[in-house]
Amino acid sequence: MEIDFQERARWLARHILPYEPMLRSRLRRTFVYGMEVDDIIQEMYARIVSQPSLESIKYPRQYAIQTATAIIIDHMRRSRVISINSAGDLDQLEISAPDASPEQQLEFREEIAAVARSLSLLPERTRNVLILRRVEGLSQQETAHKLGISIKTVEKHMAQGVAALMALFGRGGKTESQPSTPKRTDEHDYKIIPSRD
Amino acid sequence: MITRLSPQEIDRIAAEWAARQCSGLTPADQQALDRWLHDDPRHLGAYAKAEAVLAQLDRVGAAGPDALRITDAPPAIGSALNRRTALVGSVAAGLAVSAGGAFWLWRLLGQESYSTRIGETKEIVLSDGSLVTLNTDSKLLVHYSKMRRQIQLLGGEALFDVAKNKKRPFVVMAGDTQVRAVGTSFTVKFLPEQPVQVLVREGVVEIKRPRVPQAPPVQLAANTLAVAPPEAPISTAALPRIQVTRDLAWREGRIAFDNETLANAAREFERYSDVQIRVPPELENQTITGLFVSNDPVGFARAAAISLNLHVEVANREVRLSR
Repeated sequence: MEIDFQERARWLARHILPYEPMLRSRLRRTFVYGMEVDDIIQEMYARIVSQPSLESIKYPRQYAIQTATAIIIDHMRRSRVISINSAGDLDQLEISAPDASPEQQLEFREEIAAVARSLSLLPERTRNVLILRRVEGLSQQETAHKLGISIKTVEKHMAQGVAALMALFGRGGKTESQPSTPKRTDEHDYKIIPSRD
Repeated sequence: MITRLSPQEIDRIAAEWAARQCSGLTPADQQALDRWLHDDPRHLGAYAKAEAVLAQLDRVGAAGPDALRITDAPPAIGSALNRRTALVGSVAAGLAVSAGGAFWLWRLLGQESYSTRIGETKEIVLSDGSLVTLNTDSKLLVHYSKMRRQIQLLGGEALFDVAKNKKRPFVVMAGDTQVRAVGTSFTVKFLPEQPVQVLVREGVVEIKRPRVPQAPPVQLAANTLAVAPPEAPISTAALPRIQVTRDLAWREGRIAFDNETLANAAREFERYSDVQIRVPPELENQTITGLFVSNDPVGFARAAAISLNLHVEVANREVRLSR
């Protein structure tokens, strides 16, 4: 995998991560048979991070919406059974997505507030590990020493902290913590479109 | 085989990798990570997001630890840090979105050609960010100049989601008919021995037929269908939104019928495969409703047979319906 992740991650942090809550709320209104919002979001990040050149993406918000739409369309083409309403729902995703106006661009100040809010929801030790490591730039060893814990424990808190922030950032730092996994509904609950057996 | 992990489990594993990555991975770990990332695009996506989360901490960390320790009120930060990303204009995003990609056959004087085979659909992202979805058995040429974005639909059907640019009108030509838009979404259908049809999904388009004096230009609003028959004025009809959506079901590889006659439905299916559906004259006016897989005429015929209580006989490249 010859992708410079660090640089691309910075780009994603700045240009895509802030729009994830908006995208999720749109996607939640779009029922896609056999696909969860989380699946679409993960695939969206995968597609964007694999783009040859991120710098040439001028309108990241619109780009994220289009990428999600393309993922849904691909999925529908592959699947043989869909709800008769899917096509209409998809339409909504696109049409309700006007071009970004400057007001809709998040200000850096708001981004800081969102990060602070998310951090405040973490267990104290996890939060301290994240702040010492990433904000104050201490090494793993220094962090362990300062908090009086083992290096292994520092790593464990890092992993837990990143996982928690992934969930929180995606939801705009709201307390509605880990959402329960949406149940994959049975085919029979939906109108079935005749297809070859 | 690999068991399918839930998105939450994938996020958790990705977070672990990201945490390990920032304290340095051994070459063996790095290989294991690479393998995991290759297993499933969702792994790659989750890992990219985990790294983005860490990058966001770094970025925001530049504002100083104090900013982050205030947890209730939004922290006040000097305007120097208030780096608003300016967004000029409002145009749809550029660049290729569809993974399949638009293959182009040749380029001549800035002209690009795109086509689809029978049963195929394709999305093409043009250089200005406009998105074209080509339906089955269709072909078009793209000619972009500084003043004008010009498309020639040589045959078939295409949906155009046009990126806004008032200074560079977007014109689709199909036979003697010109469809002009600025920023909007519409389809143009140009089938053999049928009048050109234009369906507007969003915005406004203008239709002109300079060589047909009987047909003055018309403006079409959203949810309107226009038909341009030879030597006659352009006729227009407002359609319910739901029908506009159904008429675009081909984008997802489907055909939607709402009380359509079997004869018309069979003809529609012929656009998408080389299998013929034979409907005897006495059944031609029976109607059918539903959403069908466009490249599966046999499946359609079977479904029709079930709902109308008919017999279906499948022969080589031919499906016969009968009482």
